Amino acid sequence: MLRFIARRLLETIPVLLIVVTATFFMIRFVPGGPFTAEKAVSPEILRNLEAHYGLNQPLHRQYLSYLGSLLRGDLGPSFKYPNRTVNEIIADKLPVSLELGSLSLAVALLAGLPLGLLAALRRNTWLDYVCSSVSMIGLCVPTFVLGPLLVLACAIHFGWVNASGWYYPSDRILPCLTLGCVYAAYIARLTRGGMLEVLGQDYIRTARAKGASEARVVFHHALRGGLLPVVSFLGPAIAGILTGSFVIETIFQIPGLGREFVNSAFSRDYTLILGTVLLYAVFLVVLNLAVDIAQVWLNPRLKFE
Amino acid sequence: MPRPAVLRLFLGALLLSGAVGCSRPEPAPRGVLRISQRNEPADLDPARATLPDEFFILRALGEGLVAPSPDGGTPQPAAASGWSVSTDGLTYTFHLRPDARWSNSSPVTADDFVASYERLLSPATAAPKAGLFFMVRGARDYATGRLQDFSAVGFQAPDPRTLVVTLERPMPRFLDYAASGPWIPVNPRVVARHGRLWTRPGHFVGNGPFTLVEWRPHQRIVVQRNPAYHDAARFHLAAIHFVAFDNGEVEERAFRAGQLDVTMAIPFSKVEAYRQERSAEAHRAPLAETRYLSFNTTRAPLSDVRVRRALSLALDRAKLVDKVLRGGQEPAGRLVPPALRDSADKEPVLGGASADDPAAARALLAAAGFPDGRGFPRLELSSWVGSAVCEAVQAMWKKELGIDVVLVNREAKDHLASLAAGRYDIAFMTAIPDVADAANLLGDFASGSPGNYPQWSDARYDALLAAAAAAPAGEQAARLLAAEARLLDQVPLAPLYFNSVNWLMRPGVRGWHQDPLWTRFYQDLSVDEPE
Amino acid sequence: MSPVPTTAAAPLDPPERGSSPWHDAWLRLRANRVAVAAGLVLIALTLLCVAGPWCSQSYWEQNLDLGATAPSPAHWLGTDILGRDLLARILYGGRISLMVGLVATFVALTIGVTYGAVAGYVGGKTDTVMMRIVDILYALPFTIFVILLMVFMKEPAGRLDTWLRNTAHLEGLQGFGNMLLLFAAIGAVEWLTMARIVRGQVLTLKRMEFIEAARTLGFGRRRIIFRHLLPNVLGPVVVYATLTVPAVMLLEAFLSFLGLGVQPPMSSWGALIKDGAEKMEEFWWLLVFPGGVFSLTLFSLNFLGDGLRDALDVRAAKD
Repeated sequence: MLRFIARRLLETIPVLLIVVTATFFMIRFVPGGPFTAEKAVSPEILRNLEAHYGLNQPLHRQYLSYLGSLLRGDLGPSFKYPNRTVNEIIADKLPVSLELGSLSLAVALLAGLPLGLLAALRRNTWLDYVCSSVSMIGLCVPTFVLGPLLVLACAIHFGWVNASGWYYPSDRILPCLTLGCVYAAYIARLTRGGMLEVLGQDYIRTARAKGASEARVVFHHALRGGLLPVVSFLGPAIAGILTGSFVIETIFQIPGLGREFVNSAFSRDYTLILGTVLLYAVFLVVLNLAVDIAQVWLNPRLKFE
Repeated sequence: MPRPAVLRLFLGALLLSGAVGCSRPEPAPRGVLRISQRNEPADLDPARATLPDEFFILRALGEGLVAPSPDGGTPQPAAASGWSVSTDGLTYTFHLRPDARWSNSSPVTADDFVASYERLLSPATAAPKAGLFFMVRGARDYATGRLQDFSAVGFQAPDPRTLVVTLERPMPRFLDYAASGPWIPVNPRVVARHGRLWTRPGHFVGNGPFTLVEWRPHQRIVVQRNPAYHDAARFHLAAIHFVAFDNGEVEERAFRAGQLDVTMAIPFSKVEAYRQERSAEAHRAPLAETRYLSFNTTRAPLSDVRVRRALSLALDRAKLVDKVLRGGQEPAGRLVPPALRDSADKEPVLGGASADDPAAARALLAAAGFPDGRGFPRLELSSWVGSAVCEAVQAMWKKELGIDVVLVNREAKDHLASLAAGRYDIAFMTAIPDVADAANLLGDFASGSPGNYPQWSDARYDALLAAAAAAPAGEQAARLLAAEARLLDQVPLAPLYFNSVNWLMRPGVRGWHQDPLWTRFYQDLSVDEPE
Repeated sequence: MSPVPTTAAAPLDPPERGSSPWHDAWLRLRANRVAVAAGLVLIALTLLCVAGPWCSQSYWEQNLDLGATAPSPAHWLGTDILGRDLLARILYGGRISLMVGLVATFVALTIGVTYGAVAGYVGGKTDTVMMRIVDILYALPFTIFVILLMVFMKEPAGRLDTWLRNTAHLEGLQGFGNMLLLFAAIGAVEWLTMARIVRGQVLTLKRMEFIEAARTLGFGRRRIIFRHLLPNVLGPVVVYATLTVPAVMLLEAFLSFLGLGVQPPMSSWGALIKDGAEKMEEFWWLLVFPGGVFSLTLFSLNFLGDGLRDALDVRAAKD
């Protein structure tokens, strides 16, 4: 298993290199630059700005110098926020997104798994329909509707919490519930589907035939295989949820990294785009590795290959 | 089943933590005003700032030689207590206040101003708004590197209290430029010591009525009263919180939840409700911003002035403003907004193509070879916001002229880049002047100007603009009016409306002032305690 | 056969000898009342969206003097800010949303399932390379990709539309070029998770006895993947597909903001909901009706998906 992990980590190097290279050149082909503004900048000032940021160099040289600073762990200065480096921005905002993400994930798992399990175990009964319907609320009500509704009720009508911001512990409640709801829906549906696949399998019948208790059948035998689709889904989902959510961070004015992903693209902040993409890629690769390990653990018949 | 038990436990814990954390944050401390801030400032450096949102904060932290006047007239004394102008209008001599101090209590000297402007104009600094200095002798050459020696630029400090500014040519509106945000000085010693980090709390030193104490990106910026400020008696607020809000709906909900005293705007659909039901909180003011349709004059059939005029004449601007925008905007009969007009200039409409005259429009279109819109190509009307205005324009053209245009949304910078490159047919666009000077706005449409999005080139217009710039101070306004009339007669663009701003303010806020160029005035401003 | 009854309601009796597995699935599906009801609702909605606009009001005609009005006999579901009939806009928007949701999901499904199955079954170096490609595609910035797609593919798409508009009998298809770009953009991202899920299932399945048996019988890879493996991963695939549909419909609203996909005055459910969410306190009907139709569709789709999953579950049928 250690060899497997070592090999996979080695594989991430070309993956990250390709991601950085592709992103670097993609963003340069997008129309508009960091200095495109409503009030057009005169050509002489634009020249100064480009020289200031090294954008007047040939593209391949910019690329090589970016790779060079990347090797030193330096993601460069931000174009949009000249007094901050990309390293500083990520260090400032990633913890916020990690907190929001892990709390939401907890909500999602603690709501989604039981709902999915219950629905699967009582398939096609009223309990199944209730559980399925509840979990589908997270699908039918988009975050940009659910979030404002919760704010209107809890913050404005009852005055329990703040409408937005990220200052007090109570500011965490609404955003985490909103974001958690969406993922809970996915997890519940996938759990139900995965469990139903497994519950029909021969080895479950065998376990039942041997007189194992229902709880033992479910939690000892069925859950492992039944969670496979959920686990496959969770790899990229956790990478996404931990690196921030654009919509949630906007609705609740949370100073997280999720908005930087989208806004850096809109402001053509080249270095910040590359920094956030790289960060996401690292999360993704690591989590997908974790998923592959979890899959082996969930299914002893698999080997690391 | 153990899992639901866990769930119940968790929900209980969540509710409990909610109950504990629910002790609503204490109301703002005495004398603190909480103002919404829409765009996170790129920097709090006058040489780097470009947006009104940045200058809101900068004007609390520093002041230039002169400052905009709350009543919109001639700029008033700020760091300079007075000034004199030479008879040829070329030399301005500013007399600095003897009691002007930086927030670290060292005196503000004329050399500090010269050093600030040298830094701002240096090509290495690459200040985006350096153009606001180009009327000063040698400034443009220095910024482009053609001139290396800053002592040849028209900023001289004969003594620590006197700053002499020499212009390239007379400019009646010069003081408006000198009052603009980039002219706010920086402390050269602090900048040298801290480099790019000088604008961080703890390092920041300014000469304004407030000092920087906290800057949490995308959360809030806190400034505190500066007792060393020369006019401190007129500033009653203990502190201002600039609270970040990226989104208008979010901002409005925070206002309703009592987290904000002043917002940037009111969401479109809530303007009427607020004005009717909570009118004490709803405020409205005109802006020096013109929204217009830019015609790409290099593309057929828009290269035909008759077509452009027909398209402009077919628009019912009053209806657009009253029925679609509903926010106190004003139908635009010309390009220059009221706030930028000379006091003698009383013309509401210029050029004759901005009237609502569908019959004339149809006649013109027929004369151009498209009777009843037949044979008219499907042009694209592009915009960077999914705007109801564009949908209304589309419907008006279809109804009055029988032509179809395709609406295209573009991402903002893509939109601006395609406007600059002439990759569009018709585009919804906005014109916002940097300073209260009609020439600043009209200059964008001179041949070859980077802001000339219609790609329009008209020798007569260029000549009229040049004549206005060269004219004696007293005649410039009339000459600019002639240039504007020429522009509107040739219709490279169709002005739609002059924008306005609606915002929410708690009734306890007293003495609020803002001008059409997005300047906010913090003197004489106070806030009552909420009961 | 196991003597222990499963928790599921018993499906049909074991099928008659000789009937095809697809026919059996159909029979099982038909016996599921909830699934049948859900399917009927979906068919009714689709018919309404396809046929409805012909007998309702114009979706683009504005009545600026009217503005936003609550539901009334003249406008059953009210009007929007520009005085346009909301019912007509929902019906027209439904065409776009249903098409985008179903077509894009189908594209994602086809690519994702094939890709994931091949990677999982072949394994080894092929699997490594294929899954690392998925990682790379995940990580690339989507917003940038969409803007690039718009910039470089808009001209060809525009030419296609012009040609469609000027070609007899094909006028109705204009706007199709832009739609193709939309499918390309959505298809490019939505298949990735599907591929990972299918690969995960296939990795497990390929160690099972019946696959080993097929291999010892000398069946080719292609036959094993498509005949033996795929039918067994359809369950999770159907579930994930029903989850993809709403995601795609809402993604479409974001993309139309970037200029890709449906452009005003045409609308879609996603765009209507987004618009309604901003105005829900003043004009509740602008959110409630589009949101209601959207939810109804999703509920039906998910219950139909569940029924389909049950029906396709070969093992469950053995009970």
